[in-house]
Amino acid sequence: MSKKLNRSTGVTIAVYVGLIFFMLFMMIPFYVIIANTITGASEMQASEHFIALPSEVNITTILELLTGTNLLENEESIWNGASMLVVGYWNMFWQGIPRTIVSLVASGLAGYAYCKLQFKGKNGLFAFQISLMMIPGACLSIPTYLYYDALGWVGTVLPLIIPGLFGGAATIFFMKQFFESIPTEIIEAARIDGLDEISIFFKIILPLAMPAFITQFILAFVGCYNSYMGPLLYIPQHMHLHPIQMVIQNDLITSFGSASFEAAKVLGSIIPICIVYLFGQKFIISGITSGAVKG
Amino acid sequence: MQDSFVLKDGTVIPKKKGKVGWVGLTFAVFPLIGFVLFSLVPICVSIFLSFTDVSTFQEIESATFVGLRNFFEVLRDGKFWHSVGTAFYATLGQFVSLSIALAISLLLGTKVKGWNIFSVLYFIPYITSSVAISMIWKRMFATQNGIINEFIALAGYTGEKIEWMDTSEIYMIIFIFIQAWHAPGYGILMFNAAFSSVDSSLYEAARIDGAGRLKQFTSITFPTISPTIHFLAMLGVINGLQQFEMFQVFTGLGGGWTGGFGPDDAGLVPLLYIYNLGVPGGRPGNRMGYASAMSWVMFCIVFAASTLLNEKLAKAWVASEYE
Repeated sequence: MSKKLNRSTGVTIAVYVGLIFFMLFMMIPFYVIIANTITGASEMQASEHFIALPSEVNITTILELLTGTNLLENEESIWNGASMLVVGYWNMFWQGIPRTIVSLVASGLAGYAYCKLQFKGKNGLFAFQISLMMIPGACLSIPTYLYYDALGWVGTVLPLIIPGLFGGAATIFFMKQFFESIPTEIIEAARIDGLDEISIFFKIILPLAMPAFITQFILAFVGCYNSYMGPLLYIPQHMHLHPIQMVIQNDLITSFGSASFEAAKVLGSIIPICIVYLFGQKFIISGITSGAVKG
Repeated sequence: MQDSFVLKDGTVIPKKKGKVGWVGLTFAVFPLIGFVLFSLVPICVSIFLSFTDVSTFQEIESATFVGLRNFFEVLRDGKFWHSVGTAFYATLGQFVSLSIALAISLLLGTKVKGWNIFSVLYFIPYITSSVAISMIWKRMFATQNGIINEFIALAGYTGEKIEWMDTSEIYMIIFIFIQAWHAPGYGILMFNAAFSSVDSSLYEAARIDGAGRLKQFTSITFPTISPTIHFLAMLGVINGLQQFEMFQVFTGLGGGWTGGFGPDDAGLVPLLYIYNLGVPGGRPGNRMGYASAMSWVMFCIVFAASTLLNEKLAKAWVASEYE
């Protein structure tokens, strides 16, 4: 795109000022956490002001977090004796990733059906599906808990996995929008070649819509990584099943309980997801722009 | 849906009828199975409970039917209406972040050098967990060495340090800041997508016709992104009124089961109230039936607010393609 825009320098400068000002607003909180992490506990307590740069960099809290005195004590778990941080990441992975993939395929198939297939009651079903986004999910937390308790699922990870296998209204909506940009002629050609709908979805739609799937996968992964209320509700006492946010918030305790250690915990939870995001963001960008090549 | 096609010369071609389309139906219905199994049943349980005086889950067998008494009590519960007010206040934060997202995406839309680096960085607060957010912003607003108070002092304020987390009148400002920080990333993502779906030849045609920058915005850009604004505003109202996790983690002491609700209940949102009345675990003083009734009153409020926004506001200015 080598568009020659007759934009004056003044406008460009104004745009940069706006963007940089907003970036400072977005980044300062992270800076505060980093500064707090590397400030020694005694220095922080002695000061009445925010310490932007500590007189000496203190990394004992980071080392304590990584080497970890917080170990899992559960004879039945294969992770007995492992650091809680490792246990938390492992639990997040096995509880979150397979569920997310199944859910994405389910949402994708539904989006594909709503976009490219003809069937009875299509418009009504779609309206109903979208209206489900309005259900105040948290309003239902109490009856949902009762229901899972009646099923005998409380104290297990089933409530965190099974209901999430069926896809979500918002993802279906997003997928449907994205599939609009895929020409129907391709699908018709494949049908004439004798492919059934499942093969068309996996062999043609899925590769073409990969940016959209990866975008949704990253968003869903962030959801898994950050999930906290579900585990808190269903497996509060089962430390060997706790995913990472539960570990960060409830299980990591330090002998001093210092503010620096708290800050280090926050850093420890943010940095890994940032790395994943930075690797995945180019897909997000392309997932968005490739939806644009319509005409 | 048309039942038949009419060609230019007037011939009517009836559309094939009678095919169910099982494949499409199966694909579409599968997600709804999850809804029926894991949402519809709890919804029915919840409706049933809201007409009983059941206190805790353990005493569910001794529950008696009390008719509409729970609902009348909710309508007279001052604490509940206070929490609804707080929820609307919290929703303000959603609209602040929506406005920020729109403004920033317009800036990004100019495609100045490095715009993509900015948009990557702007997304990071969105992927931060509520646990981390609450820890971060408690530090930001700390009375003694919080950076917000430092900035205020730098700006020339010399009075007593502001106790953000202990003053009920200004407590919600913290949550507006949190929303303005956490949520714009998603809005910017959506707006970027909407902008990039604009056919760039439209702009070229407009330029040739002599349309200025403002004219291009009002007649091309805005109609294209108005469905996105509509979508995000709806989502903002629905999510804003139902905020829960952020408040639970922020107001709770160490993120435990229950906690305070901020100074003078300033951080009490309806779902937090409902959750604490009916929290599973059988604490004394629990009123599960009452909490269920409250859930349904809240559901009606969310539904009414979003429908109002959808019908009245959106129809006035959202481009009609959003059908």
